[in-house]
Amino acid sequence: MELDWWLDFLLAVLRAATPLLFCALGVLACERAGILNIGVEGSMLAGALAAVLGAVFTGNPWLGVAAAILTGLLAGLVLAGMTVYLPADQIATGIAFNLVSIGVTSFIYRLLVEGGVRLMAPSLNWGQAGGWLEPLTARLAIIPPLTLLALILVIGVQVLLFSTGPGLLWRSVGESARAAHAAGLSVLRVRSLALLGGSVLGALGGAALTLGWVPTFVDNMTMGRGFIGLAAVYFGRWRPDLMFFACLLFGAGEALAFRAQAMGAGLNPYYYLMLPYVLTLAAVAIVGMAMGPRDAGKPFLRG
Amino acid sequence: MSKKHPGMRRVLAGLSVLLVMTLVAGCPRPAAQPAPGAEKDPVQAAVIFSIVNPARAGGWDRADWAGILALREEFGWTVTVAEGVPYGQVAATAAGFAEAGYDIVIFPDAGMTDAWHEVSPKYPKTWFVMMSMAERLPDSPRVAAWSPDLYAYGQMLGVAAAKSSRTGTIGLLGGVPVPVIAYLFSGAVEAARFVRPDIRVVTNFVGDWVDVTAHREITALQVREGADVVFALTGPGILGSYEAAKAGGARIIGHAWDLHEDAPDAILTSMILDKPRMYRDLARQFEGGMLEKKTVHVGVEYFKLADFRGAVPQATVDAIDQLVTRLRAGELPIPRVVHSIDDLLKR
Repeated sequence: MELDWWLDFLLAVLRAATPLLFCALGVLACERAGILNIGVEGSMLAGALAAVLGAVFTGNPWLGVAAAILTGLLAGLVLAGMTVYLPADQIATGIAFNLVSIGVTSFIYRLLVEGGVRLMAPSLNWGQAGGWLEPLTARLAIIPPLTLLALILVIGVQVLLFSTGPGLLWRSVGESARAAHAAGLSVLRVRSLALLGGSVLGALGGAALTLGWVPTFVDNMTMGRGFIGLAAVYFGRWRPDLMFFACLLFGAGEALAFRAQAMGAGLNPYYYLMLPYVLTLAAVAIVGMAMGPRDAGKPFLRG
Repeated sequence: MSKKHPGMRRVLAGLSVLLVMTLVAGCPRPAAQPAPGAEKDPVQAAVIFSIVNPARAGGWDRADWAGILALREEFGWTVTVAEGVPYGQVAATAAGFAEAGYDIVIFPDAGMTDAWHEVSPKYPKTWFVMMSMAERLPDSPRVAAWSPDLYAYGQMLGVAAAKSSRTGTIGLLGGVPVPVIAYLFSGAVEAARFVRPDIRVVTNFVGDWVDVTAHREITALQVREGADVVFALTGPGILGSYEAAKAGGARIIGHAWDLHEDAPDAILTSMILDKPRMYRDLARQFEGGMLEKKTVHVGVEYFKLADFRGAVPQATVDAIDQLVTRLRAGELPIPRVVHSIDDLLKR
């Protein structure tokens, strides 16, 4: 096959993997602090809409990214209030949050569309960064901005978690919240911060899906990508480096599904379209049983 | 833990009760009985959609939406719309409308054929109408179908696509690979080859109607294969196809409704199916007491190409118009060959 084909395939893999990477990092950040972030799908969906709205109304996609971050913070505050401070059941809260997100985003979307707003945002690219960044961005043009940010975050979180003191404290809350509390750590604060960060990352995944891929919004457009991010964390055994490869694998499955069909072997399209899911199943089977942080999903009760 | 945050729990409980009360207050109530001697009740119709927000969908459902507006505004009918109903739930939803006393239940989508056949015999006093391709009528006294000849529709589309293409490659993009689409695409392939024997047709299916990113990727692949004109028969996911077409310098032919306003710089033209006319036919026949158990075969008189708005040279538009006129008159001997989905996918 031509080099051109491979380059195009690689870029398609990165495009598909970027939203998954953000979501997976969001899940991992929370689970390492003992919180199951099932609501990442909802954060992603809210972030997707906020990013498009921010970009449409300001004309600047970078402000769309900022809007997604703010929405992620808001989502994190709600989830932290519910699962850390009440604390309600983390799985039930996450599922409910996802359902509410679908309803709320569709409701807002419908209001806007009926109000005549065209939700076609400008795409995010390096050209808009401009100014003094230009010499750098000219070299980076081939890698989309949010993909680069995701790659940097994967390395950053890996280093932070496994090579620094704060990372050790962070992990200790996920492994044994009671021991961390006894050692003087504020478990509630660490978990709240993790949820805020995790929700912001989920929302950035939504921004990557819209501004970084197709700069528009439709109902429930995340289509379970948050959950694939969740699977990537399990496949990656709660490590950012392995999780990164899991996201690439899932992205490759998606990119390959379309390309296999375009190669025209003449098979039923569903053979190709099930490729990513077969890959996911195969990956999970190969990994086998993996143990996550021991206190993940357990509420922390002081006293 | 409830001892720790009793206030917060009470606030949340209060908010939940308030939310439920608001939702209940917003629920529609049955209309009051008219006073004796008052005007006759408007016809009560229900339309079931498998997607949400049909008013902004990819084409097919949007054309139905225009039909619904015609029923409401021109005939004064009360039309209730159920959106986002999965195919597996269509029969139960239709049964719910029939039990609530609706006069007519409309299915706008051939994917609801099984539900149509299942539910209509159980409610013989309600009309169940299919507004899509139907091979046979259900075993019930009050059923009708307005069934478009999608092969002929595909032929008109194929003529326009083949004649508009500069590269000699056209793309056919379907949402879900269902036989109805294969039938339509077959007409397009045969007509394109008839008017331009050297034409290359690349066909793909996305696997769903709504995933905008998948639509973008597959359309981009068709453009990479050389397609400069792509016909997209899909749903809300078509927004992704617009993006890929714009990026690759290709043009999209919209389906069923004039989609120019959605993406003026990506739409070449649209292959219009006059669904509002089908709904008007239904309304006139129902109100005139002429609606009967039958299939109305909707032919080329219901199909037309939208304005190209300068997207191709006038000479090309004239050539297409000429061919379409001959097609309408039955003067183009295009073979009627129905390809399977697998055949269509072969390169």
